[in-house]
Amino acid sequence: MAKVYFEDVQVGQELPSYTIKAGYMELNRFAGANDELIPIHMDPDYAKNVAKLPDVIVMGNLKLAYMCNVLTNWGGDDLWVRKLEVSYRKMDVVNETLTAKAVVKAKRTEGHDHLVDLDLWVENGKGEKTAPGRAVVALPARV
Amino acid sequence: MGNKVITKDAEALIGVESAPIKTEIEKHDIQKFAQAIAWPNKPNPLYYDEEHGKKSKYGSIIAPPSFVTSMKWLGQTVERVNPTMGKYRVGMNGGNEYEMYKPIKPGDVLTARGKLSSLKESPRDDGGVMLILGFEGDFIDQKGEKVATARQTLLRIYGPDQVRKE
Repeated sequence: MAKVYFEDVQVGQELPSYTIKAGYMELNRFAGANDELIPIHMDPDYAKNVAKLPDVIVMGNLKLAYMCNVLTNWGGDDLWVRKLEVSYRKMDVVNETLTAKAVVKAKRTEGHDHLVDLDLWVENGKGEKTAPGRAVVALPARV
Repeated sequence: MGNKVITKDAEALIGVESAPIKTEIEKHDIQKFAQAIAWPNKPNPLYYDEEHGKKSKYGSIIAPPSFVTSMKWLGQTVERVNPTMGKYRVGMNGGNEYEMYKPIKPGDVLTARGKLSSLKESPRDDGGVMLILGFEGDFIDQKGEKVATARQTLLRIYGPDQVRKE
């Protein structure tokens, strides 16, 4: 049995959000796993003194991964993320509390595929959308 | 008004594919990625737990949806484009787009080819220019099937002293 079926999805529905404090551990683990070994994400000394930032900043790619967690935690193994689009509007400094959210914008059928269009984004602790995006996911249907 | 940053040499690179970049996907790469995106929570078993993967409809663990961000495909193309235009003040990641056509599994061998897909510039109030570069890359697996497409927008700000005069 699938976790979520296409028929049960409602336009306007908000998915359960994903909140995380993105600390040094989260950034460094992701830097390694994503092969994104860039000083502004890893080296506080460099970030502060050379790049003149308050501290190291969260990778856009990590914010995108958190948005994907919203989709996959909701839809389970039978959800397929077909398309992702994201733009990086504002920096998030390490230790910021990030919340990834998604809301259903439309449902449609394309051939045999049952597709759901979503707006998704990451917001910072002040509720500002620092990385807005969109996704298309495929879900199983009951029929 | 003519371009102040974009050159004919740069435009000639639009659509020209890079040499193939081959990556073998190892199980541990997928598991490490799964762990990093979930930390400090437990990784999603579909991307981490081999027993869970075997029982899934995929028959093995698969890569998380945005795993493509860890793939190399863009560097070579950016390096080829860079010398065709002048120095800029600051560069930024304008955004990404990914399309996923089939799951990436341990043992897959993916071949990527990147290309410059678009060039656009717009004037800035200070007399400088914002250059918008679009890149695109396809990932093809060992069966010759398309696994994913990645699109990347890079933004570059040129100061008024870094652009061609009219």
